[in-house]
Amino acid sequence: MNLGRAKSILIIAFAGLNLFLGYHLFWPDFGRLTKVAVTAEELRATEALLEDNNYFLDAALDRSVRASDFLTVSPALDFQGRLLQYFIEKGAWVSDSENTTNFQTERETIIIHSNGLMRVVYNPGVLLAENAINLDERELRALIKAFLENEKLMPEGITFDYMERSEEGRMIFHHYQLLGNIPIYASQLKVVVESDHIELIEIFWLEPVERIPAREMEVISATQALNNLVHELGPSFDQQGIDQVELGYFSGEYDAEKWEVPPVWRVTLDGKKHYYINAFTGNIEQDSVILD
Amino acid sequence: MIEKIKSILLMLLVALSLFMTYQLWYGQKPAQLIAEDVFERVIAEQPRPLEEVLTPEKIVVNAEEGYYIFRQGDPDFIILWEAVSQVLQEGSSSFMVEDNMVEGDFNNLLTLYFNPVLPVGADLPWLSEAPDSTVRAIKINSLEDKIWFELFERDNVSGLSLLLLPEITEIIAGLIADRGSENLVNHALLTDDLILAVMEKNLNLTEPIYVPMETVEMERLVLKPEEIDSDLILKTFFIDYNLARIIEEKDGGLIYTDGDRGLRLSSTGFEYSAPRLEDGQANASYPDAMFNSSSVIGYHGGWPESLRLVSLYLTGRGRTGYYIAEWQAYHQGYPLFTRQGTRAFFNDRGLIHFSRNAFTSSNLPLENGEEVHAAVWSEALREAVNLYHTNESQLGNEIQVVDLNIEAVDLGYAVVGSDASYKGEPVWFIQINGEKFFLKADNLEPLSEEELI
Repeated sequence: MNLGRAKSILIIAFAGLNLFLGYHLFWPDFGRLTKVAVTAEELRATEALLEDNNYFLDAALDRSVRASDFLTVSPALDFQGRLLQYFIEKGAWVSDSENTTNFQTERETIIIHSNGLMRVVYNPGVLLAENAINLDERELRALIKAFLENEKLMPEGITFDYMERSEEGRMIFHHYQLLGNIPIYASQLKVVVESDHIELIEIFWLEPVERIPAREMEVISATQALNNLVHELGPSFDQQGIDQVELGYFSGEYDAEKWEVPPVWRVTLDGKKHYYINAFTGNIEQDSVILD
Repeated sequence: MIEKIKSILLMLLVALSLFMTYQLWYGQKPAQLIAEDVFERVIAEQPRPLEEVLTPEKIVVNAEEGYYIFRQGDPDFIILWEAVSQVLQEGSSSFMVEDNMVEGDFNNLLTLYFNPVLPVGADLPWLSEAPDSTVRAIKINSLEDKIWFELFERDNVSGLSLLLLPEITEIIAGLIADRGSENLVNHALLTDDLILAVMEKNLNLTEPIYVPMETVEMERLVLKPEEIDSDLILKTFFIDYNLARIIEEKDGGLIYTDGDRGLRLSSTGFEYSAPRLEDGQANASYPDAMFNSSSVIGYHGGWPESLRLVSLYLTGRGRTGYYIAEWQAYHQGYPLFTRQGTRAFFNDRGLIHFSRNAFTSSNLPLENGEEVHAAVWSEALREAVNLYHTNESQLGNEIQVVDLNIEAVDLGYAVVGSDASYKGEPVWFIQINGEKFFLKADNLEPLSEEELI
């Protein structure tokens, strides 16, 4: 037997061994890149279920297989500290009450709750724009952004979420935090505008401490989340549209040192109602399950 | 040239096979397998059988000049209850059911009081041949050489009389006779006349209350919280604990939750809650609920000897309902009073809420652990009545309540202290019209419920 022939035999043997190893290594997830979490039949079944219960799907669903993990967070004390320093430099005086610390300047009162929630109350309100009620959403958002930047109230990763408008002319601008491209819905900043004036800014901002890749798991599909939601809510009296189904992180607000936040599917109904479905368990997330 | 290509290809294939072998051997599991790898029901302890779930609230033995009281934690208590329980379980091989046993001038030897009530009847350990019923008290009476049990139902109406067979009569009579001791404290049964004579006013007695006729000496106790295996407790509540996330509280407490249920671990115990299950019904019978309570405490931390089921009742509104079970720890016959306690709410859908805070004596001497001479019962009761009236007037209730219902007058230990040290302070526990009073046993200084752990 010459060397060339021996090499050919070894090539064939190793190619076979590699096929064998590859099969065992990748088979359970084989085709993972092309695999979909939601088949066409499942999508149709979910749409039918929604229709039967007076909901309709008005959003594109993420049909790929998604995995996620827990995100450890703590209250964003650095941001809060910088902000308070700014107010102190503006001449704020400080007082303590039972569960809050209050900073008072000539224009605003800043109330810090023990869980990290911060409320900036303007009394009187700060004019956003004359006839703000008549401006379109894009213009209003630009004005709000400019105000937040000017007042050092722009935490890292802030992203506009949606706007609420009441019949009385009250407007609330909701923002959340982005970590990379994943929303942290538990991190919130709200700006309340009434009669053209900014009356209140409410901030509950979080500091992402770490992600826990060791606990990465495949999440339930978006259709499974919708099925669970309809099962929980039951039929709707008026027809409601599902505008958005998006994966992010959400938990209730805790008066805690730090905590883990699970991935959720956020389902938006009629542009304003939000439901958070735990993407691991399929349960609807509640604010707090521990009794006081 | 072709040989060179073959050599390179061979080297690549060898390297690839080595890489894949390494991946296969040490590589990470696919993501979706992580959530599925733990799925076993973990429990701390098997539930107790029904015959061990319930013990009497107290056993009262008639003495020459009064009564001796035995409660959970007394060695004599267990001996007497096991003997009586055995007779009730054996049925017709131990006794004959008789009518009109109360004729004649008989002696009452002892009385067992049940709270919660003792269920009897078919499919139950006790009196399985009798119709389904519940027993509030059992009196053991004797006349000449006969001994019989007289069973009182929930409404205090005398029900069955069970005449013991001669060989059982001998055993029971011997056990009761052996219970007398010089160290036991004589008690008196509170009556309207006694209350009027001592307190100089009328008070309603809603329960049979026994009070010591002699000075009682008690020791301040060094207590320690029950040791909780937090990892085990976590697994008993969350079948797949990978899905539970952790919240670190500022006071050092830990909360685990999966968004649906929550478990808070603290230095003295834990609290579990699944509020979604509140919208359920409770169709289980009283004996089934009793067994379910045993499962709850057994599964989630076990049932220590010193802990007694002190209450089990059904509550709810509308179409929803749930059972509430409560346990209390005892030390040598005295109850340990805590604020949080050990309590479970459950219905047909499952466990809604469970809090567990149990303490035991550490058997360590207290630094200034002198013995406490308890004030006499009448002084304690007088003080409690005064406090009750003071509270009423502070609440602005101008019309003083005329009828005062005295529901409990007991000695026990209030669990007080902090993380550094817990102690059992001897107290008088007095309950008037549902209001609880804890008075330090020696000087009758009041302790508020907030001061208890």
